[in-house]
Amino acid sequence: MSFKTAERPVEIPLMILGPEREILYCSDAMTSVFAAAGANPPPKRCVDAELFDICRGDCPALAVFSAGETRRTSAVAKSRKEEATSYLITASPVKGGAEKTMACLVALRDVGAGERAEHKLDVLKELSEKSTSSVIILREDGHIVYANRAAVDYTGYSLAELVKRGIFFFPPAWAGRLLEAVHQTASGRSVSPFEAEIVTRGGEVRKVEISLSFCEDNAGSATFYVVMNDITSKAELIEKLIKVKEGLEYEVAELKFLAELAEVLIGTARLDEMLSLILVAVTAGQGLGFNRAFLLLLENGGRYLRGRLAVGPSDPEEAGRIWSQLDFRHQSLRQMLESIKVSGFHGDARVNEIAGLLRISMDDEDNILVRALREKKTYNIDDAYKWGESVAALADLLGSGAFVVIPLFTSRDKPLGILLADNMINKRPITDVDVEKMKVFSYYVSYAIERSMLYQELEEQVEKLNEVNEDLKKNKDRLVRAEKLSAIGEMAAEIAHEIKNPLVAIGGFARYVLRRMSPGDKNRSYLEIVVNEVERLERILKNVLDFVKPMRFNFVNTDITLLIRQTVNLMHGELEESDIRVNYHLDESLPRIDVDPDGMIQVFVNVLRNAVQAMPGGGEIDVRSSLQDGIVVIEVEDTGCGIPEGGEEKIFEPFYTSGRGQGLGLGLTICSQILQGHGGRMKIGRSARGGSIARIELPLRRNGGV
Amino acid sequence: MKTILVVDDEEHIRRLYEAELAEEGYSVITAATGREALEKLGESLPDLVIMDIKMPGINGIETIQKMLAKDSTIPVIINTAYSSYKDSFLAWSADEYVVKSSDLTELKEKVRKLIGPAEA
Repeated sequence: MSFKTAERPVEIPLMILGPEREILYCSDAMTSVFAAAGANPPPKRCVDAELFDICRGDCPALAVFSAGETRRTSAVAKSRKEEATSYLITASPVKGGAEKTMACLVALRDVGAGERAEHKLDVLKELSEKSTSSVIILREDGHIVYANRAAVDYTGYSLAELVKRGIFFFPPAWAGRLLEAVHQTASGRSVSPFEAEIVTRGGEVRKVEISLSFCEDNAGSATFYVVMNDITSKAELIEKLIKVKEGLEYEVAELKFLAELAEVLIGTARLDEMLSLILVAVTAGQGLGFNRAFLLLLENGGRYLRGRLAVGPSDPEEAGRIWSQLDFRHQSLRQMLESIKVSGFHGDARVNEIAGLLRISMDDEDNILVRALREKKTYNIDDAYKWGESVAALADLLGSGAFVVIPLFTSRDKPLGILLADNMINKRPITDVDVEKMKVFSYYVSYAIERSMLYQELEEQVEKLNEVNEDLKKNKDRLVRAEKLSAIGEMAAEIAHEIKNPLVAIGGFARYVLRRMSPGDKNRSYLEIVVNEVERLERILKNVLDFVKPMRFNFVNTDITLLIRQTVNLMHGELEESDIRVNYHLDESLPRIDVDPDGMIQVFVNVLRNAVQAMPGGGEIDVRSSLQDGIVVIEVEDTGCGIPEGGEEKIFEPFYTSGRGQGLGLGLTICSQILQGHGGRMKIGRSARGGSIARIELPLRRNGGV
Repeated sequence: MKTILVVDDEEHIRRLYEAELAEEGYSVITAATGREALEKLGESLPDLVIMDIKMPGINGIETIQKMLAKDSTIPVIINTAYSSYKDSFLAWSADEYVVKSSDLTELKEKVRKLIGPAEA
């Protein structure tokens, strides 16, 4: 703490002590007193110097700290010179929060001269000349018989003037008070030092502390020895201290409020919820205490200012009800904000209607809200009707002629919106302090809104990232599948080749021997088994090697509808044998597309053959084609036994079979590869009729096909 | 008598083809590698060559190219486990392409098609 804020040096001995009697401030005059006592510079704690005879006993500062009241006492100061000086000590408390005494102001007044003069006027005069305090000697009627040099300097009047005009430099009331004290002293009663005011020649009003004592002049008539000590500086200092104290208290309250709000808002990321909290904080008694608050945010890329939310009662009746409820609950601001958060506060209907009407173009440069934002200036409108038509119109809409408009900016100085508050219900004028509080609060509001907006942005981006991630995962799955296929393929090719040659030799010689066997040979049928089994193995190998074979497509602009019909015709025998009927539902207007006809036939054959195998007892196959969003969709639906449970995912895996047909389980894998080469794909699912449905998708325009 | 050169690194395949083609009435000489095949070609000129592709050392296609550089009139049948070489332009120089099978019917048909029956 530093109290060295007085602009003028304090001319009276003055110090401020802390609770341990540590010296917080020491005026130059006080330093001189310490120096005279041999303590130069002054000690840290005043008691250490033992400046006065009372220091170890009846210390007025200690009494001030314990009692909290001003104490006066007289004491004799130690001095290295022969003469000890007597002082009147005034110790006053400096109070902080909760009336607690924070410090003690100690002022000294030199009264030594008067008391040792033994009432001898001449001696008094002589001594007084040296005194730095202003001394005048009065008669009972107020005539001045003497004034020392200090008094002449202090009042600005010459000795002659003072002697001629008396105590005219006291304003009448204070002159009366002085004469009263004179009479009191004259009648033998003692008078405590008192404060008064004088007006100097320069017209300056000064505060003085007056002490007076009775003395006789040489002629034996009654005179009064009056000492005036300037306490203007002291009074100013105290006033300043009080202001500092008030400022500190205000700042503490402000910090507490912001800390409470911060704590609640930090737990709030959603913009709407946060805006509600902010407005409640503006209107709550525990917060900024306005009646109503409106929040406007910039929209449409900053082109419009729009009322987003408002809080407050719509009329005094409602206000009374709400406020009494709030008082009754006795919640702290924090509790209130928390409960609002929990209850999902949506603002008050009526004021929000008003807020909804607030939509201002940022081009409307006359508008007070636009101006506040453009000029970055707070407007405290005390009487809207003096501010011109535009402001008056806003006042009409709000139903309030006085309001404060505070612009909100992001930390990077980008305009955000406007916070508007008024006291529409109780009509309490909006003070500068209110505006200052609101301004401080607005920084916080801006930060919270900005943070929330960033959070929202972040959430959106996280969502986008998630989507991208999902895509990546799908692509990764595809890649893994392709890699798996290729690894299996390589291995299969290797094995197939190693097996193929011995197999050809085994089968070839078996046939050779079989041909030369007599028809009646009993080993003939065994050899036939060898031949047939080798043939079966060779078929399997052929499939594997076909699968391994890198696919090359020969794309031809093809009528896909015709190709479907041709494929079905190719399988005519197989279908008839299994007693299966094919129903066409083909879109005859399908555009021609670029496909590898052989590859597509292989796909159709595979799909149809699967259908045939699924219906050993006969059935129906529906073949449909259509154009959906630029994709040619061909569906083949059967009335068979469907995909076995859990088979949907494995169906495209190499070597997966349902166990029904004689296939190797590579058919759909190959189909899938062919379709991928066309930029298309294939899905197999259960049909509504219990059978399976194969859906083939081919893009109208092929990109990236091989 | 019409002579056929069978080139294959697998001994049992060579013996099978030898037996089968001899049964058809053809005279058969064999080679286990591309190098040996080219040497045999220098000794006597066969009427037809049946060539495997995947062999250690010089592979079948290279062998055919070297062979045809000397005499482009000898018909060649490529006989391999893979059907994929069918698409290779290197295999176009061959007259026929037969995928290896224990059933030699197709191979024998192609032989007949190219050089006629043995007794003719």
